[in-house]
Order: sequence, then C-alpha cells, then structure tokens
Amino acid sequence: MNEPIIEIKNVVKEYPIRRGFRDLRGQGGVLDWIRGKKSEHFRALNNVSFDIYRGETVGIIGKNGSGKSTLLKIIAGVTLPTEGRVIVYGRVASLLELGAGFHPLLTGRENIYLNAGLLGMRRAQVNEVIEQIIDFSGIREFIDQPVDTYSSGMYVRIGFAVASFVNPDIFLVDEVLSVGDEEFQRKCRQRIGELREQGKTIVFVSHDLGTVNALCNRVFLLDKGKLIDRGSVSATIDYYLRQIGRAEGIHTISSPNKNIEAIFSHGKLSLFHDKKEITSPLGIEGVLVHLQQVHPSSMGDWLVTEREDQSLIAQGTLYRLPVEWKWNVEIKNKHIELNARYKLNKEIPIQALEFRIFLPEIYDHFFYNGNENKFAPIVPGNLGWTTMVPPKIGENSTFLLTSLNSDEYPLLKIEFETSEPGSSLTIGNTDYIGRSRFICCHLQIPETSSLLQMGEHKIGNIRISLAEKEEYEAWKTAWIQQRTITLKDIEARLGEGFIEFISKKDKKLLTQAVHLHTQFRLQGMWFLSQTFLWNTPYKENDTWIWEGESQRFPIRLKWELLPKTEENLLYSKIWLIVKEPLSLEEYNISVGLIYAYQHWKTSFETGEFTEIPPEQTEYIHLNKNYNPSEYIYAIGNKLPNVFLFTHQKNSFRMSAINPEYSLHARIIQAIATPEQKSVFNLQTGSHLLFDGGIQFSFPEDSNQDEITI
Amino acid sequence: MNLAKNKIYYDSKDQKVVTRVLIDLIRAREILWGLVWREIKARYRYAILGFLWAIIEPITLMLLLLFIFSFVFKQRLTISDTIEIPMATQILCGLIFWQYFSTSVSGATLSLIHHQNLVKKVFFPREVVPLSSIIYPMVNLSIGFITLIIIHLFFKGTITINVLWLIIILPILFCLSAGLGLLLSAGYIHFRDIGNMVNVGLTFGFYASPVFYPVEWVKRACENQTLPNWFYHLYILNPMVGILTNLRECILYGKAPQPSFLVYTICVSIFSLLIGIYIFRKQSPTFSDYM
Repeated sequence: MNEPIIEIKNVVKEYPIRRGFRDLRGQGGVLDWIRGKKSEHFRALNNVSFDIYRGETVGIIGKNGSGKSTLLKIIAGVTLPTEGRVIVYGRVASLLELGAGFHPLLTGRENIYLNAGLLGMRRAQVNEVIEQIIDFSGIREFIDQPVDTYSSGMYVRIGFAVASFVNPDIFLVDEVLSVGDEEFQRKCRQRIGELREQGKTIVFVSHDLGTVNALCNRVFLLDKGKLIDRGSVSATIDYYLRQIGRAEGIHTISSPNKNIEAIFSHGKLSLFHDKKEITSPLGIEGVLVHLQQVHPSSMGDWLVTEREDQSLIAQGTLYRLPVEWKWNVEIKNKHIELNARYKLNKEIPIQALEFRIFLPEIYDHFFYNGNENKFAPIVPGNLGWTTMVPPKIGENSTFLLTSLNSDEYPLLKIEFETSEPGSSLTIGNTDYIGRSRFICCHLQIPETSSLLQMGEHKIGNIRISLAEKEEYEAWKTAWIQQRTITLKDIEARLGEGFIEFISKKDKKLLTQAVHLHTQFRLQGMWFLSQTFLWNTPYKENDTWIWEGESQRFPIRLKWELLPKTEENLLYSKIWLIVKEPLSLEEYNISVGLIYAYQHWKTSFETGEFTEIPPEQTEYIHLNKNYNPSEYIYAIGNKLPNVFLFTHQKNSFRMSAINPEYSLHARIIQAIATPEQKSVFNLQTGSHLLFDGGIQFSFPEDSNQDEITI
Repeated sequence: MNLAKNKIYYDSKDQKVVTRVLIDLIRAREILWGLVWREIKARYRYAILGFLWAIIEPITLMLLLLFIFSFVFKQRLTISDTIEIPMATQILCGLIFWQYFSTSVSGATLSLIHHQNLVKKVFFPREVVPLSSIIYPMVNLSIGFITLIIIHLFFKGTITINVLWLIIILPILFCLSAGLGLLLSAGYIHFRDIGNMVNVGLTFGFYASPVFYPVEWVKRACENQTLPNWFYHLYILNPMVGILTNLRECILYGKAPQPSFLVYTICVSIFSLLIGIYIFRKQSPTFSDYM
C-alpha cells in the first residue's frame, strides 16, 4: 500500500511563551492585552514534513523538548499547526492520555462507554466488545466501582483496553506505556504486535529505544523541532545515542560537501561517512595511563567552547586526574584532524598517552610498517585485546581497509603526528564484547619528559583521511621502493632486520623464514638482527646504509650494501658499533632459503639438503668440514643458485644446515668463531664483522662454476 | 492497486471553517449526549435526596423571595385589575427560567477549562463542551417547569393554548444561552477576567431582569418620573426582559406574547448565536495551547 495515511506538510508550531504573574491571575489578563505586550514565541516544530503510510509502525524519538508530543498532538487534531497542513486519511485513536474523559464518580463500566465514545465508537459497537475490553483490562472485579478508587495502573489498563478495541485505523501512542507493571507492558507490546498484523498504522513516541528498534519500520528523530533523517532505524537510533548528554558537551561538525560528519560528545568522537557510522560504537577517545590505570577522555566534564560548522574546540576536565584536555577538531572534505593538548594542574606520573580509534569489524585489512595483513576474526572466546602486529616506534601511519567492495566504508589512512619521541601505533582487535578493531596512537612518556611538568603541553595531531585506492597502492609501492634494492633479476627487500630476496620473473620468494640476517651470541644467548630497532634505509651515492639499534645491549648494527645490478650481486659490509666494551661469543651471517633448494657446495664438499623429519627440533649441520673457507653455494632445481661469500679469508666457516621442521627452510651460514675458543673482546667503536656479499646466478645464463668475487 | 482518493478524516485546513459546525456537531452527537448524561448521573448519585434537590433549590429561593416581598415590603403584584396571580407563582416562573439561563451561561463559560483533560488530549468538535453545559440545566428546568404548572393550577390559575408559544420562546432562550456560552467560553480561555465578569454580570442581570418583579413596575416608575424616561428604553434592551415577560404572559396569564418583545428577542438571540459560533470556531483549534 503506497498511499500515505498521514500527510504532514511544512508544519511549524509556535507556542506563545507565558510569563510573569499571569500565572496567578490566569493566562493573558486584559491588562496585558491593553498594554499591547507582544507575546514571545517558542518554536516547537520547525518546518517538519513527512508522510506515514498505511500499515507502518513509526517511532518518534528525540530529547525532551524536541517537539515529539507536539507533533503527536498535531496529528491527533488536538491542536492546529501555526503554519503548514496535516491531513489524516483514517480514524485516529490517540492514547495521549489514558483515561481521558473519566469521571471519578462514575464506575469503570460507565467510563468505558464514555471513553469509547470519545474515541469514536458508537454505543452499539461498544456493547459488542465490552466484555472483551473488561477481560483485557484484567480488572473485572473492580469494574463497577467508581473510578476514583482506581490506582493509576488500573486507569492505564482500562484506557489501553478500550483503545485497542476501538478499531481505528491509526494509533497514536505517547509514552503512556511506561506506566504499568511488567505484565501490562508485555500485554501492550503483544497487542501492538497484533495491531500491526491487522494492518493498523501505529505512531509512537517513546524513550525505550529497544522497543523502538524492534517494532518500528521507520523512525523520526526530532531535535529542537527539526526532523533529522539518517536513513535506517538503527542508524537514526545510533545517531541519537551519540548525542546523549548535556548539550554543552555535544557538537556536530560536517565537511563542506557534507560527506563526512563527526559528532563530538563529551570526550568521544564518532565519525560518519555518507551518513553511515564508520567508527564503532566505541568511537575515538583519548586515554591517559596513570599508575596502571586507564583514564579515558569520556570520563570527564566537557564543554564545547567554540562551535563552527566545520570545526570545534572542546575542553574537558577529567574526573579522576588533575588533567584538562583541549581538543581542536577540524573537518575538511577528505579528512578530519584532531589537534590535542593537555594541561596538567598537578605533577602526576603519567606513563603513556594514547588516542584510541575504534573501527567496526568490517575493516579487516591493515597496512602498517610495510606489512599488509588481515585482522584475525573476533570470536566469543576473545576475552582480551589482541595486537596484530608489534608497534614500531616512529612508524605512525597506517591504512585500514575492508575487503568488501563497499563505498560505505572507505579506505582510511590514520596518521599520528607528534614532536614528542616515543610514538607508535598499535593495531589489533578488542575483545568480543567491544567487537571492534583498535588503532592506538601511542605515546610513551618517560619519567624525564617535559610533558610531566605542570602546565599546558601540545601532544600532537591525529589525522584520519579518506584515501583512494590508487593513493593507497601508490603509497604502498613507494614504501616498498624505499626498501627495495633492485638487481637485474632479483629484488632485495629490506625488512625489519632481515633481507628478503624475490625472483623478479615469477615474483616468488627465494628466501624463507629468517631470510638473510645476522645472529649474535651474547651471555650465552642468541640474538637475531630482527630484534633490533631498524631505521629507514638511505642511500649514499650507490651504497645503501641501514642501521639498527639493539634494545638490550649497547650495540648498533650498520649494514652497507652495494648492489651490482647486472651480476645480481649484493656486496655487504656489516659493522658493529659498540658503545661499551662487550664480549661477543659468536656470530654468524645466515640465509634462510626456501625448502626447494636441494644441494649445497662449499670449497671442500658438496652435499644434499636431506628431508627434514617432522620430529626434528634442532638445527642440524650437514657439512663435515669446518675449516675456514670463503664461500658456500645453494642449488635447486629451476631455482637460481645462491652464493654466499666473504672476502675475509680464514675468518668464517661455511655451513649448510637443516633447521627445525617447523621452519620449513634451508640455511646456509657463515660462522665466525673467535680464536682458541675464547670470545671477541670488543672495545668501544666500530668493528667490521663481515665483508662479503651474496650473489644469485641463473643456471641458463652461465656456467655453474663461474664465480665473481 | 488503483485506489480512489481516500476519505479524509481530518484536515487541519478545515478546522477553522465555520460552516462545518453543524456537520461536526451531528457527527459528535453521541459525545454530546455522553457528556450530558455523565453530569446527570454523577451529580445526584451519591446524594441521599438525589433528584429532589432539583425541586428543593428553586422552591427554597422562591419562598425566600416571597417572604421578603409579601411580608417585608408588603407589595402585591397587580398588573391589571382583572388578572390576579399570586406572587409565588410569578416569582417561581421568573426564577426557573432565570436559573436556567444563569446556570447555563456560567457553566458554559467555565466548561472548557473544567474539561481541559478532554480538550487537551482528544479530538472532537469543541463546541460540544459548552453546549453540554447548556443542555444539562434543561433537566432542572423541566422539573422546575412541572413544579410551576402544579403550583399554578393549585392556586386556581389557568393554562390556555397560548402556552404553546413556549415552543418558540424556549428555543430563543436556548439560542441566547448558547451564543453567550460559546462566546464567553472562548474568551475565558484567553482572558480569565471573563469568569469574574460573568459572575458580576449575572448578579447584575438578576436585578436587571424581571425575575421577581414584572416589567410593568419599571414602566410605571418611568412614567411616574421616579426613574428617568430613557431608563425604560435602556431597560428593555436586555433580552431577558423580553423573554421572561413573554414566558410569564403565555404560561401564567394565558395571553399571546407581546410581538415587540418577541421579535426583538428573536433577533438578539440569533445574532448572539451566530457571533458565538463564529468566534468559537475560529479559536477552538488552538484552545489546547492556552490551557
């Protein structure tokens, strides 16, 4: 049925404000009229237009004072709109007040007739259903008592009973159902359900958002007399919920083209794109970690001090810490930026500061620090938060994408800019209750930081931008380019303390597991170069310089890589920069290769990489001769030969290794052991650990035995 | 589905249209009856004497007035030498009709506020409310009228066919009451002074209408120069003068009512009814905003 049953056109409703001692004398004395006092007006409804169709169940929600009851009164005909027009094409029963027209001295039964008459039923019709009405109300034993002996609950029951049997076309219900016990409420909901099935149109005003969500086909949100359209029922309800709280702490901003909107509500931001909420219900908030307790920005008193259409400034005082936040949020066509400062009113130890951005599960892929990865699914068993990828200090941007081809959830780029050191991003899943992805823009605050002094400090900027696919691809490519050394047929990618080698022809990895890396034995334990904190590699002339700092020992590694493109050769010099004297027990340079490599060759022996049995948990050296030599080969069927060599004669022993089964790889290694089973005593300064390189050769191109040194 | 234009049950544009009054009232007749019945039932339900009070009240007042005029002021009512009706009956006749007018006008004025829970919550033609206050006192009027006839006959009075003029005069009284009731109830919503004004006005009207004295006394006083000459003309502008005099003439004296009074009162009552309906209709849709 597509015919509207209620038409509301451009309705404006203004009420005169009644003031002063009129209230004692009654409204509007003659003297006021003579004085010609102009009455002020309160605009309860501001140009509201919509249609309600037959058979729909429509909810009207909004804050107190937003005009809901006024709208219902206008539909019921109880009052006239100041401007505009309302047309109703059916009989209306309004449950605006149950028990309308009840005379206290008359009995319940007599009042039923009266009430039914007021709602439009003829006496004869009432006679037909009077018994059913009395049954439904459940107060048969009191029905012949005068009504002023009834409790309010009984009033409500008769009122609703009469109304539901009156059989109008349209029901208007105005929050009356909140009176009455659980039993009655259940009955009412049931009855409303029955009425819906009979095709009746129901319009109701309620604060019970659960019922509204469950029952209504459509919902209208009123805010200060204006109708706000957010599309679906749940979107409208969510939008309403995001703005709960005192109006001083709430403000909505939108981009010039209205594409992106943000609602700021008491220390929490919610983002919308094309009217769809793209942050999870947890929103975006700031968090301070103090003595292992988390203090979110939403736990504070907020005031929006500057309100513009596209920006706002808000100040919030936390409840439990002497900290005042000052947020400046600006929104442009493609991005939103939060500029945060805080003010410490007392010196307290804050360990860390985070801006947490929560996104819905729909975002299932992210790109961070060179890794494009998928989020793990969030399942009921998840009781805590899970981090997907370790945070890296200094890596402060990430892309979030969804694998659905939907325009509603755009590609997002999140950037955290701060001049304070120690910032990173942590990316992961929340627990099952929150069911969101989190991106924490984390700032670790050391005890000596200036941020811990009293006064106002600038924290930094969080920028969330909508990115295009192309932009993302370009960004990804550039990121990788920065870390890729391109040889003729091979690409070397610098990861976090390791180098991957990829065959350009078929884009397949030649190295596996640990790839090309170095290892150190210090104080009896092995440390891989992967555990160091690596900077972005840079080029000086033709040499790539790459530095990483150990987190446990006062040492730095410096790789100098000189590629020789035509020969698929990468010269490497590895320096160890020691800050304090150190005893290094052993070290090596290893290459983890894919399992498919079958043979190995040193200057003394050749051999096979045998099958690794599943139970193998150790590294098993396959070669027998450990005399110092200068090279080792790995050979595989249809694979390029890998040639690891060193210029330092007599410093390294070459070995071929089958590692543990779970690595599913082969390893060729250049091992450096100190003389006479002692240690390398390293003084402060730079030490050249390794001077050699790695080369790839293709069996088709040249003779297998050709070596270039 | 090709539906014909659906029937319109409510259109906010129509609510102020005056010509719809009759249709609306006919449609709402059950509500009107319901309100009247409600008052009737509730009024006497818990009183022991119940309905008897409808008789006792006017009779008590009549006896009181009788006492004052017969014994205290020692007047006897003479209109002409041929007609002699006891004071009692004359006063009673004036009283019951005045009481009807007074109750209905003051009741109507307050009726909208009295029923504000209805007006603010349910949609129905608002005219029903003051009209119910005008119909309800007819019950008392009927009882009083029967009492009057009984007493009149008891004192050897006669009823002639002229009593049938009641059929015209009563509607005039009704229209006058209805017009004033509608007008005043609409005004009362906005200006609460009107409630007080009505009280004062009716008290004044009680003495300014021939309730417990005939109009001839005033005429005589003006001819005797006790009162200025123009006073009589001012006096008969009061429509209740004409109505009450005519009623007395046709019920008690058995004469046809004076045509001058009759015509005048018809005009005044129709005029007041029209004005009342017009103003009420224009104001009624927004009553609930001012309650």
